[in-house]
Amino acid sequence: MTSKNLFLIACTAFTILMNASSTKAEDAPVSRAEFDKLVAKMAAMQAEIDRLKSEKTEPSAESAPAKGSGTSKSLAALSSKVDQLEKAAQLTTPGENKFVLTGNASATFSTINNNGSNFDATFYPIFLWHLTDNLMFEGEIEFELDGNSTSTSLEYAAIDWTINDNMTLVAGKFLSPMNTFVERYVPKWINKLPDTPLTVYDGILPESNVGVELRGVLPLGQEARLNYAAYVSNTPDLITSDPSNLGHLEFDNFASSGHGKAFGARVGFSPIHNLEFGYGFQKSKVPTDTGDGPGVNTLQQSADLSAHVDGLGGRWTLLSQYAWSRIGHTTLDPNGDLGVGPLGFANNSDGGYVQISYRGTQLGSDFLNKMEFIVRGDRLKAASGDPNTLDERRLTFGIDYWLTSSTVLKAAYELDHQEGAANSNAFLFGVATSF
Amino acid sequence: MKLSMPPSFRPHLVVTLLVGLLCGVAALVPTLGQADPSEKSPKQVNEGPDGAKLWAQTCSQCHNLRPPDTFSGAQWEVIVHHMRVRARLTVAESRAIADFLKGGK
Repeated sequence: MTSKNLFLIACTAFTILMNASSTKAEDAPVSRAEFDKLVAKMAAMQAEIDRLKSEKTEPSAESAPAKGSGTSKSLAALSSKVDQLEKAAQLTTPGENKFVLTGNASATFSTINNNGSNFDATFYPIFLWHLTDNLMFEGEIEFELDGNSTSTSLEYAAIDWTINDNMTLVAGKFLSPMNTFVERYVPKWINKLPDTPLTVYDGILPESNVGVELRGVLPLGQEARLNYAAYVSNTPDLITSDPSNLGHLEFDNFASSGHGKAFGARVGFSPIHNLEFGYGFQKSKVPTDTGDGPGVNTLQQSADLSAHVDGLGGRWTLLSQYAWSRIGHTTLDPNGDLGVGPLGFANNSDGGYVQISYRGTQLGSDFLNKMEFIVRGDRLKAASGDPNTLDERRLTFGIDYWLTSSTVLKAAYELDHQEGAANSNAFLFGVATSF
Repeated sequence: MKLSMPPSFRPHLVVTLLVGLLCGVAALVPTLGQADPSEKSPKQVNEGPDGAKLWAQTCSQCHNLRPPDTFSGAQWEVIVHHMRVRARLTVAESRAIADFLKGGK
């Protein structure tokens, strides 16, 4: 081996030795013990990671049972409550027919000049059955105190059949459509004063009819509408046997004597939603209440106007109606048996009312916004020759306080003048509610 | 027996004829007075009567407005049907009012 070869071998060995000595600590081979130690550490770290993961998704062994039971109990209680409410809701719709008992009641006190003072009470339940979407039964009974007893009367009882969008057929006893006060405003909680106007209530217009009525509305564009009602019914009777009401019409007879029938109608026009003009009439040939003697032709007419306008921080309401009654000339008590006749006159009478009310809505005070102020003027002009009826004029000032939207306290002072008689001025108080 | 009355008060005959005409029209043309739906925008056709507006305008003509939570939904259906006849509302108007009252709890 030459010295050159030896030198090369020595350099190579030296290089190898130098590389070996210059290796970094991390590049140094790991011993078996160190490797096993590292594996053990990794296993421990993995176990710790797994434990932390399981703790994040599941509660701890100590707290899990308490939280779960509380939530379950709350859910169970809530579910039970919902079931109860569902059952209660179902009870409001029994079977396939839907029924509602509603109505109104009142209590009043009046003190009338030359006529003492008196408490009074009324109860008017209304029964409504919604038979189908186009069929309904509606009925109202009136319980009133009358002297020493309670009077019960059927105010209306009718089956309504909606034929189409503009026409409903009503059969039975229904409120007279030509008498807008009775049809719309007479319920105790709607009538703003403790008493009712002359002429249109217990006056010269019918309050109800027993027969058949066709009624409906014809929209005439965005806001204008024409409403109508036409009916045929039993006729009233001409009172010939009661000397205190000779020559008047008895509208509260429910059986027609003979074959005669009354025909009537009303048309109302609303050019805008808060204004309505109306005209109505009823024509009939009425028999006498005794059935004796010829009947007489009668004609009742009525014109009405209602309006609502918002202004001066509240709502103003105008209600008005005027009626005329024409009863053909006849001779009453021809033989003088009643101590009055023979009495011959044409019972032509008329009268009406105008009522204006104001209720504040923006007066800045809840108390003031619940008050309503009313003024009503009404009159009855008796027929010339009528021995029992005097011309009468009244002016009533009233204040209402609305406890709720359907419960009201009323107070009024009424100036009442009858021709040839002492005045019947009165203080009137009342409370009325609807349910 | 001649019934005397002021000549000016014979419009009842005209009213009879008018009401008879109205009844005929009402029976034959149920949608009289309503605009042709094809002339409305799709939004107008689909909306129908405004129940809240009708409730405020129509119901207040005669009485105070009763809050919607006065009665249950089923009771409102019955009561609004009764008022449909009394206040002479169309079926569509009464349905809109009933839907508004039933929804306004």
